[in-house]
Amino acid sequence: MSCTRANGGAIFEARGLHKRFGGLHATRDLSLSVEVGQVHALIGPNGAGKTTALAQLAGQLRPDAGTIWYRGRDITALPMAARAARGIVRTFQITAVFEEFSVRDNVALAVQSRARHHFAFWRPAAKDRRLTEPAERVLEQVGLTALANLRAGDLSHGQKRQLEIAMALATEPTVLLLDEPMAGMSRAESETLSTLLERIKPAHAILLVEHDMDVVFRLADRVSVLVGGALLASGSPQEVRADARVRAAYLDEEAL
Amino acid sequence: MPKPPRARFATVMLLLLLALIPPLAVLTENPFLVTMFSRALIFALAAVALDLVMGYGRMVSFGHAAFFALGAYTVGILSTHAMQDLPLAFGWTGSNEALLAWPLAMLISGLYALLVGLISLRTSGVYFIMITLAFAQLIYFIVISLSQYGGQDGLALWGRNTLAGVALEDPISFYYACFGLLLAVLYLLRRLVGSRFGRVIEASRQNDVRLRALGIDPFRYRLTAFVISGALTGLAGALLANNSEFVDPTLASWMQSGNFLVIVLLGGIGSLIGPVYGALALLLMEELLIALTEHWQIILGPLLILVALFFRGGIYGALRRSSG
Amino acid sequence: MQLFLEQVLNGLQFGMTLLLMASGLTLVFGIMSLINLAHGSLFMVGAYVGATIVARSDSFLLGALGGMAAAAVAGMLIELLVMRRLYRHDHLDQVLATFGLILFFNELVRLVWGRQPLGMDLPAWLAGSVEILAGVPYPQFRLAVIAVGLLVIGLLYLLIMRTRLGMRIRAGAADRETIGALGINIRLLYTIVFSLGACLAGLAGVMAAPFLAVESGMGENILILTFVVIVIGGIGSIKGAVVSALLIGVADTLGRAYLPVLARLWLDPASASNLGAALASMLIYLLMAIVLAVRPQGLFGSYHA
Repeated sequence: MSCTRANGGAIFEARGLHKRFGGLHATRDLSLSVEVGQVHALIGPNGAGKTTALAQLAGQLRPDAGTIWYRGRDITALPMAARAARGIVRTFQITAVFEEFSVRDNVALAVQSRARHHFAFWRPAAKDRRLTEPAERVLEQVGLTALANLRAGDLSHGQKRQLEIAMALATEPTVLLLDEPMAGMSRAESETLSTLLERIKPAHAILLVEHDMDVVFRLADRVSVLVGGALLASGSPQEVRADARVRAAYLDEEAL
Repeated sequence: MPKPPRARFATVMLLLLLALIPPLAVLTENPFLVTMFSRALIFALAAVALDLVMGYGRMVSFGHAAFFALGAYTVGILSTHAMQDLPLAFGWTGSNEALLAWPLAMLISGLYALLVGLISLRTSGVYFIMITLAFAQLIYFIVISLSQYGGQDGLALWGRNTLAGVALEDPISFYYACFGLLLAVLYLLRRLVGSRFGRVIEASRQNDVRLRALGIDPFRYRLTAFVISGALTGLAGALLANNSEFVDPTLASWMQSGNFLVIVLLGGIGSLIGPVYGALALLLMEELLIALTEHWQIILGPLLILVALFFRGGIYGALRRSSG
Repeated sequence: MQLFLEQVLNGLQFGMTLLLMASGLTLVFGIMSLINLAHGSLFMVGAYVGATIVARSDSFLLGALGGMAAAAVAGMLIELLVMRRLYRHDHLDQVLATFGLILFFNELVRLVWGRQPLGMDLPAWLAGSVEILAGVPYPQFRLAVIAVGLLVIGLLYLLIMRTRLGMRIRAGAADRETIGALGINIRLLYTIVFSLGACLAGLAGVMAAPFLAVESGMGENILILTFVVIVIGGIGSIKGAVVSALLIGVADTLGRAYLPVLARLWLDPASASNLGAALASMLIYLLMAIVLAVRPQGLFGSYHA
């Protein structure tokens, strides 16, 4: 399912995105790209428009102008479900899992989503090995096997985050759009998740919206800084860290 | 998730009791019991059909009476034409055979459910409730205007259908036909709910956005569930037409939709078996309270209020919780 | 032409009844997010008490006040005993509980007043006709209903826009969570809003009593129309309720008057009147479907209803 393009071009790319909400110009001429085997981090102060940008990349919001490209095709008009079906999967800033399903069933549903249709009325999904076996493999990969039977709503915040990542992985995506996955996690949980992301990086193109600078500088191959909806700087972590404008606008307030 | 032992035991007892109603009626020399419980089974079937969409998909329909009435009137009209040998369409004079009339009733209600669902399922919440209500009102007013089929006064049937040659005039045969159908529907829906299809429906209720983020657009699955629900409600309507040998526009009234809703809520939403408890409880309460006073609704009303306030999940919900 | 004018006025008069019902219901739904199926029962209580007082005392004014008071008291009791506990419950629990209230009230009035419908005779000073245009007589009472309705619109406007209470109501309709944080006594506010709605419903009942049979179950017919009105107008919006109620009132009345006539162009009289009546009844539901298709939140509603 993973692939790198022969000419080394980006598999997922946004060009010149604009989005307005009434008088608020939330996204200004935003262009960025992600390649397979790469983590591209998107950072910026609160209210910079990172979540809005992510929503447009995922297909939840339609940009007013600009285009989004995947594997060389223009997917700007595709809604979220269609993008997800093609391998572009996002996680949410506010944890969103199916609270009443078990952890395993959450992941099993993610596995199920790969199927072309769901008009199967007879066989119990709980006993369907084509769903439960991949689910259990992913749970192991993420480290949630012990919690497989628990009701998802009963998990801690950090565990729910892990579950979200598991669900994203279960859909065998190419592009992962992660919206502040470390938010609200303990040091240990953050550590587990970072290790996991490092492990899956070679096969995926990951766009990471994140506040936690330690995580960003550990995982990212490329960093883009968003301020007031527009890209202030973009480059390797070292370049961005050293950029004076970025320091002035943003990094000085964060502990480095 | 495993079913709590006490709830499972209660359900087995309930179904056993229902299976034994006719012999009990004969023993106690109270034949009216059979017709009474047939009615309860029919309402249970309609409520179970509603629970499929309401409990599992959170499609709160205030218009299921439309499907109920369509099913009932299909049987009524076919029977009337057959008994009087009047041509209905293309020279066909209708039919009194259940194996023809009942599937046709389901088809017609199912088709209307398709129409209603296509338009309504784009909305949600209170707007969905109102649009489904509006669609039911359309049927209500259409039926009232059908003066050749009784209009406001309703249509009396000349007799019950025959089921593959077996006349259903015999209350006990009819009772077991209803009971058998209810059991079959319960079993089929239970499988449906546990299937991949069922998972999508339940997920669409719990977190619609999340489901879309997984790449699944729930619309056609919810529509399918709605059509199934409508068709099964139509079947209940067909059975009711046989039970009372009478159909009238009140079958399509919004109070009737409200009745179904109340039965589901009273019995326990989202459990499939809950509405069976609900239908029986409502029936029993009506009969018991009527014996006490002719003003029984003055007691039933507050009882429903108490259930709403203190018994989350209705009767079956309380049973499940009491198992610990 | 005269007939048309009469029908329009009739429509406005019917619209006023709908308005009195809708304003209370939309406030309750918009501010407290409460589905109250028993709103029609308050209408019924107002009609019964009003009709009884008018019959005993021959004073319409007293009857009106009595009906309003009875409905307001009933509303207050319902709010304290039942609704208060339901605010945090699921909408479905509210449906079940208020359905129970409908049964209760329907039976209560049968208990107290028996099964025979009550009538209400108009007092002499309201029973006559007035010439609205040269040679066009129109029932005084219907004009009175329109006048009362306009008065209520005016008073409601003043209340909502010009008083502190009104400000809190508007704030509550806009953002339920915030008004709690502002330290406003929510419980009292809710009780007041609910009782106000009940009072208006009672008034609607009294004013509609001369045109309807005052009997058990009369609330349900008007309730369903009221729900349609507030959905079209936009849940929580008084302005929406006003516009929508008058629109529906006129549309429904004109529909009933003219659709059968229109149908007679194509069909024989018997079928035409049948079809016409059916279409007229369906008209407002079709209107609702069209409005919701174009503007799902209603004419003046906000997105988060």
